[in-house]
Amino acid sequence: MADVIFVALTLALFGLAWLLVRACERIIGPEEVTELAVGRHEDAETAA
Amino acid sequence: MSSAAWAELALLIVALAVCAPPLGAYLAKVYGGGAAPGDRVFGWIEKPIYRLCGIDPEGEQRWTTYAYSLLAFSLVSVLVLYAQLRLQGHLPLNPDHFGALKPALSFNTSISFLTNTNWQNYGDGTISQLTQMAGLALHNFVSAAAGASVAVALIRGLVRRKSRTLGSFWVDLIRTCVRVLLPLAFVGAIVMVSQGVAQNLHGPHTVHTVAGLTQSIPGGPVASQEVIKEAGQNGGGFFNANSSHPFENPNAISNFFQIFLILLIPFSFPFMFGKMVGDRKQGWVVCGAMFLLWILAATLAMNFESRGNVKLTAVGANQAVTATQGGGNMEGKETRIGAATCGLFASSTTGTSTGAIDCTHDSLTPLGGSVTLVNIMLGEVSPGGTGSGLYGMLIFALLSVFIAGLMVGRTPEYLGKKIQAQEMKLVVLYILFVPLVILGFAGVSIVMRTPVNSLLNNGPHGLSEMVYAYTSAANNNGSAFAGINGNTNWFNTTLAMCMFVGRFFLMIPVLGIAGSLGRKQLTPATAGTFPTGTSLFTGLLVGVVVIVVGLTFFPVVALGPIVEHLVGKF
Repeated sequence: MADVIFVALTLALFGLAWLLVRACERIIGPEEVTELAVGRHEDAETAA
Repeated sequence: MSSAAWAELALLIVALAVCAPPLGAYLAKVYGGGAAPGDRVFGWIEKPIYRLCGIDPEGEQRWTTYAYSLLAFSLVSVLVLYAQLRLQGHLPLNPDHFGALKPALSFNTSISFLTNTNWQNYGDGTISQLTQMAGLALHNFVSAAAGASVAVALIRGLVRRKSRTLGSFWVDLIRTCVRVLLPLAFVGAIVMVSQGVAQNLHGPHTVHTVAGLTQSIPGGPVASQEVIKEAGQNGGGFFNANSSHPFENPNAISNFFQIFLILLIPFSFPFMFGKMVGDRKQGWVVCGAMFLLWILAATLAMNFESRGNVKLTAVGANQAVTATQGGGNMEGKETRIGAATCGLFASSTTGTSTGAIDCTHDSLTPLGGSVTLVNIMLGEVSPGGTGSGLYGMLIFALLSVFIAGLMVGRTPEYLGKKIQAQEMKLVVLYILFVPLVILGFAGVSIVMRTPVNSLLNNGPHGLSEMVYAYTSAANNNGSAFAGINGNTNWFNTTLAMCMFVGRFFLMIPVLGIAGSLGRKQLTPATAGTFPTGTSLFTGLLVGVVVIVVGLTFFPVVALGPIVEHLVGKF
C-alpha cells in the first residue's frame, strides 16, 4: 500500500512539472506575439 | 589562518586557473555541433546508443519537447531506482545480504539521486553493491548530465536567432556522459586508488586489532563512485561519513583532489559559455562573479574555523597552530584534514551543489556554519553544480540587466536579445520557488511536535539544523548539518518534495526562457545598451545575487547562526 502511495506521489510531482511546462508556454505566448512585441519595442526606441 | 592553509588555497586557484579554461573550450566543442576532439573514439560509443534508443543525433527539439524529454527520462529513471531500492534483497551483487529500504526512505533516496541532491537518510550498511553501482552511481552521471544539458539549451537560446529549437536533450545527455563525465571519472578513479581509496567488490572483512578486538572492515567500489560524486557535484558518499571516512578520503592529497574536482566543471562552464556566445569577456564576467562569491565564502569559513572555538578555549584546549597540530576548531574534524581545509571544503561543497563533507557541518563555529548555510541559500551559483551553476548565474544576469534597464530607462538587453515581460515572469518564478518551499516547509516543521523531536539541539542551533535541511534539499545540495534524524516519514516525504521542486521547477522556467530568447532576433548594440562584458557588470551581478536572494533569507539566518554566535550558546 505504501508503495502505491509513494509511486502516486511521484507521478503527482511529475504531473505538476508537466503543468508548469504548459504554464510557461502560456506565459511566453505564441511565436507571432513574441516577434510583434520585439518589433514594437524597436519601433518605439527608434522613434525615441 | 596558517601559511599552509593560504598556500593550499593559492595552489587550488592555480590548478583551477590552469585546467578550467581548456576544459571550457573542450566543452564548447562538445556542445557546439561541429567536429569535437575525440569524435572517432566517442562516436564509436555513442552511435550504438543512438541506434539502440532510436535517437537522431542531428535531431532538434523545441523547448517544450526538450522539457518533456527531460521529464520523461527522469520519471522512468526515478521509478526504476525506486524499484531497485525496494527489491535489492532479491537482486545480485549483494554480498552483505541487505534487504529492501522502507517505502518512504526509498522515495526520498530515489528523488534525492534523481535531482543531483544525494541527501542520504539511509545510513551505512543498507545499500547493496549493485544498487550503489547501477542505481546511485548511474544517477550521479545522468543527473549531472541533465543539468549540463539545460545550461547548454539556455546558451543556445541566447545565441540562436529566430530559432524554434534548442538542440536535442537526448544527444546532450549522452554526449555529456560519454565525452565529459565518464573520461573524467575513469582518470580520477585511478588517482583516487593511487591515494588508497578502496575499490573492490568484496564484502566486509573481519580483522583482529592490536588491542585484541575484532573489527569489520567494509569493502566496495568506492573510488569509482568517489570521483563522479565530486566531479558531478552529487555529494553522496559510499559511506555515511562521506569524505571524512578514510576509505573515501585517506589523506591531504586526496582531499585536495576532491576539492579540485568539486570546482573544476562548474568553473569551466563560464569559459564554455564565453566561447559559445562568441565573446569570451562574457564568460570572464560570469566566472568573475562566481569566483568572488566563492573566494569570499572560502576565506571566511577557513578563518572562522582556524580561529578556534571559544567553548573549547574555555575548557583549556590548546587550539593554536604548533609543530604537532594544525590548530583551530577541531570538533567534528579529522586530524589528517584540519580546521582550515575543512572550511575550504565546506565552502566549496556548499557553493556548488555537491554536498559532500570532510567534517561535520553541525560542529562548525556558528559563523563558519552560517557561511555554508548562506552559500546554499544564494542558489549555489558560486560556482554551482554541473550546468545548474551557470544557468543559475545567467538567470541572475537577466535580472541584473532588467534592473539596470529600469535605471537607465531602456529596454533591457542581454547578448543582443531583448529581455521582455515574458522572460522576467519566468525569472521571477525561478527565484521564488526555492524560498517558498524552504521557508514554507521549515516553518511548518518547526511548529510540529514530530519534526522538532527529530532535532538533537534546541534554541538557535536547532532552528539552523531544521532550516539547513530544507535549504540543502531545495537547492539540491545534499549536505546535512547533522544533529537531525531525517529518516522519518515526515522528513523523507517533505525533503523529497523540496528536492523535486528545487530541481525541475527551476529547470522548466530556464528552458522556457531559452525557448523564448531563441525565437528573437539579435538587436544591434547602441549607445543606450548596458554593457555586460565589463567588471562593472560583475559587481552588479554579485550585488543582485546577494541582495535579491540573500535578503530573502536574512531573518532566518539572523535567528539561527547569528543569534547563536551572539549569545555564545553552542
